[in-house]
Amino acid sequence: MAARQFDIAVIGGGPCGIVAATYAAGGGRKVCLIDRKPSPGHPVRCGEAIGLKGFASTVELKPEWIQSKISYMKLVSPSGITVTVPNSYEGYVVDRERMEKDLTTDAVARGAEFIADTSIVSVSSRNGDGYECRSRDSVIHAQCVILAEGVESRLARNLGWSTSLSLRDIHSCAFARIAHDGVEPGTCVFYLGVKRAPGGYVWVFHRGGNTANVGLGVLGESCQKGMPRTLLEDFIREKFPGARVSDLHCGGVPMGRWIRPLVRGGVMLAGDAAHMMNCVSGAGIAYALYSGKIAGTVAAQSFVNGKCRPEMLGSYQDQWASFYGKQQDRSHAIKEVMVGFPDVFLDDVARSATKNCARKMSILSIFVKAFYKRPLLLLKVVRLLR
Amino acid sequence: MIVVDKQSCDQCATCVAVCPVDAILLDERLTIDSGKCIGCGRCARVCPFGALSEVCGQPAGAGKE
Ligand SMILES: Cc1cc2nc3c(=O)[nH]c(=O)nc-3n(C[C@H](O)[C@H](O)[C@H](O)COP(=O)(O)OP(=O)(O)OC[C@H]3O[C@@H](n4cnc5c(N)ncnc54)[C@H](O)[C@@H]3O)c2cc1C
Ligand code: SF4
Ligand code: SF4
Repeated sequence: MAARQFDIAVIGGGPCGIVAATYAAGGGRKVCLIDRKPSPGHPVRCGEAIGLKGFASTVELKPEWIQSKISYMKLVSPSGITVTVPNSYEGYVVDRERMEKDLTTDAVARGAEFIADTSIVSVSSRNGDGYECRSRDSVIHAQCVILAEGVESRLARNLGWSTSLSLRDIHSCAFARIAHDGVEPGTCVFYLGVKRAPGGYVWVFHRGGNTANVGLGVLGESCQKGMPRTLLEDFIREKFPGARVSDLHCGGVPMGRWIRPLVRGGVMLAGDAAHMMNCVSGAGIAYALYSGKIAGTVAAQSFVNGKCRPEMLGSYQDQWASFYGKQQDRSHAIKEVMVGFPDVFLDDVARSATKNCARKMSILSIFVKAFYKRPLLLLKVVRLLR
Repeated sequence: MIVVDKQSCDQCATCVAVCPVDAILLDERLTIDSGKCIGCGRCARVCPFGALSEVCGQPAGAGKE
């Protein structure tokens, strides 16, 4: 089988890989972007919510992607106490399929070759002469490889990383689109509580008109066979009886620490494949876009006289660690404590928030009030945040 | 021994993400290498759609479906 030659091979055409390929090709290298799916962005396994900040310095948000502008965040505690706060930052629910299609078109316009419908089964080192990526019926050789394969992160294991997630560090999710007149416009609603989603939460994100993305995540440790799907169906039946339901899909969200190191030899890990995630909100699109951008840029810059110099890839990890990496470390510490929050505590938080008029209070002061009754828990949080 | 119900599998790779011994491969479809599988049951627990089942006493190779 004749191997095709590239400078940089990007495996995985989600938001991370697409942007990585765009920047790598923009840096003047010969780049391919490989995805198992026949066309970009489908099916969508995502709530599609992202803050404007999440696009900052990576891609320009196109107005035609926007399905809904999020003006309110609403939290429903286990016993049903509701806290509504105006959204303090600019956020949207976007059409991710359209976004990924447009971004892929941009990557190709910059010179990257998009190879669809191709599942890479192994990646191996060619002993000092780059890497070999194999699918069932093709072989690709590249000096540098960016692994953006999403949560499964299996190819990384071929190359010495241990990326298998513990059940404490994964949310098992089910999700669907619904059409129902009870959907609240411009609002993201979160439902908490062990009965609705053990170790996780249910979310309802308005997606234009009377439609919404509805999904839930259950902590792996608390999950049992098929639980997310059953809980989601129960939730929709209870809150949106008679809703038209489409696009029922499932997925996993990594909720641990980001993988260290991010680079081995000429291979870089990025996006979900590197477990990059805000561990409190479960938001990963912004991290995927950002890590893709820096990985692609650094990869292109590492070429000297047509050869990749792996020692020059290290700045990728430094840039990641000093920006979103730090943020993720904090969110992970908070998640670790939140997993232990009993339902009564969450009810307390909600109660003090409604009593004190949430509009005038920060989320932090709400938590401080609730912690006041549980000093031991507060100690635990402080210790973790240090 | 783990078997996949192809009808229920949505190819989301959550099971691949948690398998400690890399026994699950998602290619055109999902396959489980019964030679590698150590029967820990993690994949069946986290599959959001309940598409994986632990089956006892199957002959070797029966889990490759
Ligand atoms: C139910 C759910 C809801 C979510 N909601 C939100 C949300 O509202 N907001 C938010 O910011 N984040 C959300 N996330 C997280 C977000 O979807 C991810 O963080 C994001 O998609 C990560 O992008 P990525 O490019 O790293 O990986 P992915 O988007 O997973 O892309 C990986 C790509 O790699 C391909 N691939 C994998 N292996 C191979 C291979 N061997 N060969 C070829 N191709 C391969 C796959 O086909 C896939 O296209 C949600 C996740 C889930 C599961
Ligand atoms: S977790 Fe379940 S639905 Fe997802 S790929 Fe594995 S078997 Fe299929
Ligand atoms: S039972 Fe354990 S070892 Fe076997 S396939 Fe599932 S996760 Fe992997």
